[in-house]
Amino acid sequence: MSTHISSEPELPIGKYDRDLLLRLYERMILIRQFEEEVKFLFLEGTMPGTIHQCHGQEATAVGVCAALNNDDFITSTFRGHGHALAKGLTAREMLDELFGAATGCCKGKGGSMHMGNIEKGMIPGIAIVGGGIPIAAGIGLAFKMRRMPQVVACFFGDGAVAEGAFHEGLNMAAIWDLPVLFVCENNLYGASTRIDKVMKNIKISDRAAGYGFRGETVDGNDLLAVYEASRRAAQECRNGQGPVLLELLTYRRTGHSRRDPCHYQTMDEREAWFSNDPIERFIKILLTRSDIGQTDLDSIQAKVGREITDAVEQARRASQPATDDLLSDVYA
Amino acid sequence: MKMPDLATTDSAVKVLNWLVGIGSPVRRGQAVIEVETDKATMEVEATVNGTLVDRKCESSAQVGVGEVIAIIEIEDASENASSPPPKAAPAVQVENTPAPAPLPAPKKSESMFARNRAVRKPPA
Repeated sequence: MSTHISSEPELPIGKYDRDLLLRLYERMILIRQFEEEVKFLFLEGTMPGTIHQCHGQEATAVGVCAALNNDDFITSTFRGHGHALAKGLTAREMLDELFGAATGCCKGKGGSMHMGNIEKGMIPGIAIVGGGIPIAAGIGLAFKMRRMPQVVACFFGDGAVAEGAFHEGLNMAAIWDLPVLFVCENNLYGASTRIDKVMKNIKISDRAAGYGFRGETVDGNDLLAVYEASRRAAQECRNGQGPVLLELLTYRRTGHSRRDPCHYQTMDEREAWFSNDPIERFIKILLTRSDIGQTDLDSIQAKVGREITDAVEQARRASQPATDDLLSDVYA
Repeated sequence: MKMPDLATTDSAVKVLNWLVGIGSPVRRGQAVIEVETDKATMEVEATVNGTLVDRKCESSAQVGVGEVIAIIEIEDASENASSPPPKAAPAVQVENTPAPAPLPAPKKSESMFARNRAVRKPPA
């Protein structure tokens, strides 16, 4: 682990609403189990194509999205399953989408890398690295010009930071004080390239100062730290003090895609991060509360498991789009 | 158990080592075989709990994606997690699936699609 992790001081777990904590836990479990299920569907050959999964990065998606309102927006990446589930998309509409079914969140035409649901505040994932950054600035500009109170959170990885789109999007958001929460999920690797091979200054939040706004590095595997930092940042954006750049330090437990065995992650590094798992850490904190017990957590796990099993069964049977629909909803 | 689509191209996947012997139990998520794609070596996990009853390929064999590589006797369907293999479609039939019917000509934006098709067509 690098030395620049700035962890939030211990947050008093007692101050949080019990239902909120359990909802956050459920969302993280849903993401982990969803990704696990999709992995096996891919391996058994049911799911075509490759998949970019987010095991180990559950706290960044859930922490940020929990700090947003339902009508706030997010933009996502090719690694977007977690963002989608965190923003309120259901396992059902996402599995249908992965199976290419007409009932999928993008009517079966988007697939893994383009998960989204405008009604739920998520434009379909943008698979081009850094491609969502100028789009998020545009969404922020629309909110500002229409005097709407919403904010947009823009997810991207460390690999996007050296892209030209990063500079253009952040600069434009800065000069117009746009309500954009730039969220860099820094998992140390852009595909197989370690961050220190492509950046002289690996503290990504420092970039914000160059554009004249606030940046902050947060322990991205600490769910409540992410949640609190995101709430502060979203509030600043709503107050017209945006944008804000959040750098969330995290780690992916799988390869870049299902075809990547991830040999470039050293065993020492993997072990260190695996012992820093966001779900395990959150469970430890939850169980310090007298009103939350292991049985509560077990029943949530079982409920999520049933939800996913049902969704897979439905998705296997769901009907594919008709050829007459080939060009509907297609713009370019 | 079929060879997953681990290669980035249509190329075959090379078998390196079996990690589980015939007659041994396997668990969902357990690495069963080590393979080499055109990009990397990696382990392939079982998707079900059961017993490995047969291995359909030997070390250094080149195996196509979707080909059966092992037979696993499922110990108890209800104990397996949520993705039992579809009963109606055994793996071996995958290659025999007929090609999808040709798509009808697009009704709208004809020129754009025609142009894209022309561009994508490999030179003669």
